[in-house]
Amino acid sequence: MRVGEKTSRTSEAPILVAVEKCDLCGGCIGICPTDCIVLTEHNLMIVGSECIRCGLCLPACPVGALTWNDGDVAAGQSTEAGDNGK
Amino acid sequence: MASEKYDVVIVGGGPAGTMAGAAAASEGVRTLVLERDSTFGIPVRCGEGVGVNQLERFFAVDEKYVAARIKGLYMHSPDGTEVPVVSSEIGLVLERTRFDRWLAEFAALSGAQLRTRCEVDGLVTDNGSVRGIYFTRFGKRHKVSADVVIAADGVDSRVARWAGIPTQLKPADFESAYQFMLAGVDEEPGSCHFFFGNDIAPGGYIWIFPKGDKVANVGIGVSSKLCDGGTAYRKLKEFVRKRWGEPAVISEAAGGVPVARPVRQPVRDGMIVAGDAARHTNPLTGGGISAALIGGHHAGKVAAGAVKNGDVTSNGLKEYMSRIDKDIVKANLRAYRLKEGVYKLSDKAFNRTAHQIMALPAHKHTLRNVFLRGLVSQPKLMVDVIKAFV
Repeated sequence: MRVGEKTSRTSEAPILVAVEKCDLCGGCIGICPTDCIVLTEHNLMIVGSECIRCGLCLPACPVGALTWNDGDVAAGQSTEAGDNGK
Repeated sequence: MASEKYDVVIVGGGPAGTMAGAAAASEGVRTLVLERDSTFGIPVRCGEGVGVNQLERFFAVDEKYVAARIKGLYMHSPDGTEVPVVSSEIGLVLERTRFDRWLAEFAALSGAQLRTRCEVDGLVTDNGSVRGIYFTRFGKRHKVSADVVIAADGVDSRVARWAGIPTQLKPADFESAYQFMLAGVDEEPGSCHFFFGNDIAPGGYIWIFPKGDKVANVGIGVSSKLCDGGTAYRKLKEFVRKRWGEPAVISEAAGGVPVARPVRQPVRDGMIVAGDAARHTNPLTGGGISAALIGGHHAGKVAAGAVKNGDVTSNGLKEYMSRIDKDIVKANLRAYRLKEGVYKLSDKAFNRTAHQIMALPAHKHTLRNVFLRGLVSQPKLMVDVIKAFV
């Protein structure tokens, strides 16, 4: 992930971060049960391999910068991510 | 890798961390406070309201970080009824950028070593005991060995979890918050307003803390359980537009507020957890400064004592548990039960309570009476109300 990208993701992250909306507040980090969201100096990174797709981080975000990675659903790689979404 | 040795190392330079630094260093042990950002007190992620009594427990209030003295509290029910609330407690609206910096200086003058721009990214452990931390600064990794690590790294604490202390929050125990500092808004300095309602702020409230010179903090907290992402921002924006139109925004902040039960075991071999990281925020109000100061103070004192006694195991640190139990945990568990009760209230119940209070003479508009009437349908909570609001 690089700064300035519209959304950021690691290869399998089920959650997308809208970089232009993200305030780097860390609220999602506080609620993530698996510690898979990492705040680096300039951006938020979701470590896909550790994400259990619980979706707790989505409503925790005050600005709505996190969304399910629907791209993966469309590509048929993951359906439960979409099913768990609001 | 550069390596250093301290008696106590504290992760986080907010009120809990700097207070812990001051408390430990004043006992004469070698103390280091590490802050992730480049300045103590920035960014501000806080409504900035606090009680004078809580500060004066530790130091005399210095005007340099006081934005305004709170003169009046007003609660607004969903139908717009404004209820002036009488409170014996004297409150302040702080200038957190100055307050946190003042605290950092206080820690330094007490003998603590402070460092900014240190991103703590790992624990030094030995057989399950915490023995220090690793941090990265300008891309270079450093090691600090310490007898006790105090985790004061805030709502997004990771340090405690690395040590195996569960600090995960349920959505119902997490408020998603957003705040504007607005300029040019005509609000009476020191008159603080709170707005309730399931449409205004689901599972939370909107606050206005005027700071003088037509500047005010206006913020919202909403329950993560009841809301989608972005609700906090949208609802607050709507409120601001209705009340003031398009005022100038000086700064804005987003963040999470734990409204949870305190962490059950905030102590491990070689580690103490304090402040927001230990979920010590008052779950009813979302206020966290006073509990951070108290918890930080106890963490620092107990850590220093344990270093001197040569026993930094969880047994040697357990005095922290009894100290905070008296000062924080009992009151917060009570506040948690009250929060759960308030969560269940409908807009109708909020309105009815406001009308009932307004029918009373002004001197009876106490928080105690507000809660006694508001929670009247939940008799189990009456004892908690009476104990919480003396």
